[in-house]
Amino acid sequence: MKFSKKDLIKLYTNLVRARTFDMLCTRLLAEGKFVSFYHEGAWGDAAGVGTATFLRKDDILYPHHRAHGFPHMIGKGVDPKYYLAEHCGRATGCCSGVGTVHALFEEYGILGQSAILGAQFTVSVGWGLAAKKNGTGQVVVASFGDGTLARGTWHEGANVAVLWKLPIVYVLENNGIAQYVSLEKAYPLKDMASLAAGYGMPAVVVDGQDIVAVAEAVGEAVKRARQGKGPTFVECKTIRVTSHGYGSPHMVDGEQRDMNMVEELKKREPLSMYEKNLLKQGIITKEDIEEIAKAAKEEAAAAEKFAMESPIQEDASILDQYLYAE
Amino acid sequence: MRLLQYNEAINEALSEELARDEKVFLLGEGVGVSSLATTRGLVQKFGPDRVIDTPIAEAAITGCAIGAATMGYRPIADLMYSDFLYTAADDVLIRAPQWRFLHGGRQSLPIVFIAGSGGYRKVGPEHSHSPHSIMLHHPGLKVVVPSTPYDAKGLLKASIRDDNPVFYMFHKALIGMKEDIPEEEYIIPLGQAKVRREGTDVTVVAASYMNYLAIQAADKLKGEISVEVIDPRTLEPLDLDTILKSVIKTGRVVIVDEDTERCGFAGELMAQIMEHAFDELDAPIKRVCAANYPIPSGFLEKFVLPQPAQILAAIREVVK
Amino acid sequence: MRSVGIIANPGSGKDIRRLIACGSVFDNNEKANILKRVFLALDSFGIEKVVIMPDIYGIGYHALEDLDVHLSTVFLDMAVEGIQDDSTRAAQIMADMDVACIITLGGDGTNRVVAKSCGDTPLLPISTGTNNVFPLMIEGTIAGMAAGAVAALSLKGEDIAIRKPRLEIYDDTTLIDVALVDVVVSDHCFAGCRANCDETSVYEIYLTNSEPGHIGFSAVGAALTVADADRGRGMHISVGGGNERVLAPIAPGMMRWIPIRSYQILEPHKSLPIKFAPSFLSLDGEREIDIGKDEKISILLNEAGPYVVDIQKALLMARDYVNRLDKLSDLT
Repeated sequence: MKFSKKDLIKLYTNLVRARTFDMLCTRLLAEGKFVSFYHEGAWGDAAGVGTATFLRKDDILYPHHRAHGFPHMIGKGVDPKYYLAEHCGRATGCCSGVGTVHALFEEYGILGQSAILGAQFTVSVGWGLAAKKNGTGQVVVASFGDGTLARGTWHEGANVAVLWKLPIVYVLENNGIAQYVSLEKAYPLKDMASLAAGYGMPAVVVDGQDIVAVAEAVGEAVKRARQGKGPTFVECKTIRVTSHGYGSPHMVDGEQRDMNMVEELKKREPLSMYEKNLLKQGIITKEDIEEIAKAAKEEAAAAEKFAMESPIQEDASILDQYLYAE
Repeated sequence: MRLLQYNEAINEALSEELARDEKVFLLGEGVGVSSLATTRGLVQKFGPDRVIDTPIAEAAITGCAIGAATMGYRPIADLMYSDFLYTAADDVLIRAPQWRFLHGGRQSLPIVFIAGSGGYRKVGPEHSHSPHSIMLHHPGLKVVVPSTPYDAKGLLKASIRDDNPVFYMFHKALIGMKEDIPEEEYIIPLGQAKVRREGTDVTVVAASYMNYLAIQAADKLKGEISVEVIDPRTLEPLDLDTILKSVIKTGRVVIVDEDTERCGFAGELMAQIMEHAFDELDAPIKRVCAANYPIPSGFLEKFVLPQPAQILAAIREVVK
Repeated sequence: MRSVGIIANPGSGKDIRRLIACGSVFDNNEKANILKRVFLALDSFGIEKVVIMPDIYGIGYHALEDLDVHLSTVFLDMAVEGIQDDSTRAAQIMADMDVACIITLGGDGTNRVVAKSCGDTPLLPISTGTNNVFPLMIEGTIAGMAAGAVAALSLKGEDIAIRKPRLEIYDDTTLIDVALVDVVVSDHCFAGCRANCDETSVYEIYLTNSEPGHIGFSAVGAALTVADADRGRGMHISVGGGNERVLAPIAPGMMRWIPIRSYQILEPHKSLPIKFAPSFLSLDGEREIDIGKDEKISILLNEAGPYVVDIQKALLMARDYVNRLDKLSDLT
């Protein structure tokens, strides 16, 4: 799969935006302006942006919980300020300040999330079935981490997804740590692609730090799904250089993480690697880079202003209104 | 009019709704055969894309229902036995009821979870639950518990047309009950209790199979005690007004509930009656519920589940 | 008695060709199983020491789990980064240790990076990859027997192995990389998913030989009409335009018509400059080197590539060795 110059710049721009929002979210949480958690995603954000950037607007996307899905949603085209406002409990949030870490952008195919990991495997089955029934070539993309894959819902969902040939792309962002437990303590294998292959589901392993590789693999998987060839599994090997969530212990398997190893991991920072390649290939210039960074900062600042100036959601009458549909 | 059995009425409701709205589809393990014959014959009528047999995978069934519902479909997820909801509790009790709420009330999730519930079949503690109190504990989920073939059909059609998740629990011990069902279409709105027997001495509130037992008790006590039997028909929404009206009339209440007594629906209803009509009561409310044990298999079952004699005794005691 | 080296690539058999070319996922537990069978065969030949490259999956560790063998195993003391360079460094260390041969588990790509540094140490490549031209579809037990004979009899490359050619990639006068099967010049600008199966992107193909039975772009060579005497020789093919086209399997299950502008026999030690820039070089099926506008990259065929163990010959020697061993044990 080849990408045009415009596509490659779009990937870069979205990655810069996602990174800028990650920094913003971390700061807002530290300043006490978030009413929710924040699970940082920097250095592991290429997979989300690469996954979502070239999806169709009506494709269904279940964003990853890490970085709360900002990379995925920015890739998908939603305006992140409504999701930021949601994190701050504002009435202007995408869930009117009720969901905080939940996202809903129906016209962009983001139909909601669950904060209980593993829901994407079975809810995707329903989306896939509906997409198949709709018959308009919609594809469902479910993002998740290696921790989530240990849920039994994976088996229940993947099994019928293959059986029913549903147009689903499962994108695993394997960063090797599930909250505080390493992959080694969680699985008797390292490449989860083998699990998918057991169902006869085509599976591929890519470098999740290489945004082009992710976009290419997901692109091929989406193509298969659109052609009615059923689900695909894309395993992106990525990294986690932060603690599980902002403020939580930077520990794994009961011990402090080896910071030398974390520094080693940081060498695989996806944005600068990509930037270097783009410059070498003459696709962007230094001036372009500055401009993109400036625009991202302005976007983030405007989103922060929007969130902070929006009213806090304290209207109790919505509780009744939201509980049941009439 | 024709005489239909309880499960035939359910089958007819499903069939009519599948025919009426192409967004409706049914899925579950063995729905093509149907162990209680509620879905039998539907796959032949509507094809395997509308009546979908699944593996034994409750989470896939219920998760699929949630996904499809958020995309405008109206899935009916057949869980076979209501005891099995625990294998998909994540979806049934948390995800489905809360989805709309958490996402700012913008969506509707028209899902029916359907399953047979209840005991009196001696099939033991994992196939005899009446888990409605667990459901009621999770706002956002409607709970429908029909006690007659007529209601089973009308309430199921209303459940399918409702834009919210509904747990529709039919009772296994009522399967053989027959009743005249009109040829023409009818719907019973959710949230309307039914006075099954009018009376003046005591109000007995009982749903599903308990309602059948309560009516038998009322008939037995004819001439001795005038018993008013109320069938709530749906526990969420609950038609408290009809119950309170009766309480004001009789001043005495017995609540019969097949669920475990501790933290059950009967205790909840007692509290609500006392909150709203304490001054109308002439005697403490009595409840007849399953004893606080797991439901035993085999012949011990009768020592745990509510028995007709206990209902009679409770009524007599409350009017003393 | 010399030792045997083992380099198993945990990353092989998992790339995008599983999506676009019906490839199969090669599970690492299966690689460990193959290695178990290699160990058992080596053990039966009385091999005393096996040197193993550690890898991020721990294929070697898994292979030794619950395995009842007498041979001693040594894991190389090296940092494992989960990248190609692991295999290159491991091969270098093994060559320095003078192992009798190196058994590799992987595809063309794996052997390419091993061949960069293995020198004259013969390779015994077991195929666990996708496009496999260089490695052999061989059962682990048989590979273990062949390697066992090489080590037990302390055979040298020139006695027991066949010397394979390699393509050398030069940046000006500096050797920067090698390929064992083919070098493909394409108009990609990113490595992306690495595997190159897009025939519309290809400018040129360089081959170490044009034997039939290849898969990948090297199969184009076999599809061209050349004299029998030229079959074993290198080739340079210009793709696109022209009047000729050939049908070739460019990846598993991917049969494609490739338009041919021209082709010529590639004479050894004759350097050919890459004319297309910017462009991308795929080495043995994987996009590896991006060429900037002003870079002077050239390709040269060198007949003195890696040694590959001649399995038939090694097995015959193995038979004689075992018979001798058996007689010795009768005497004692």
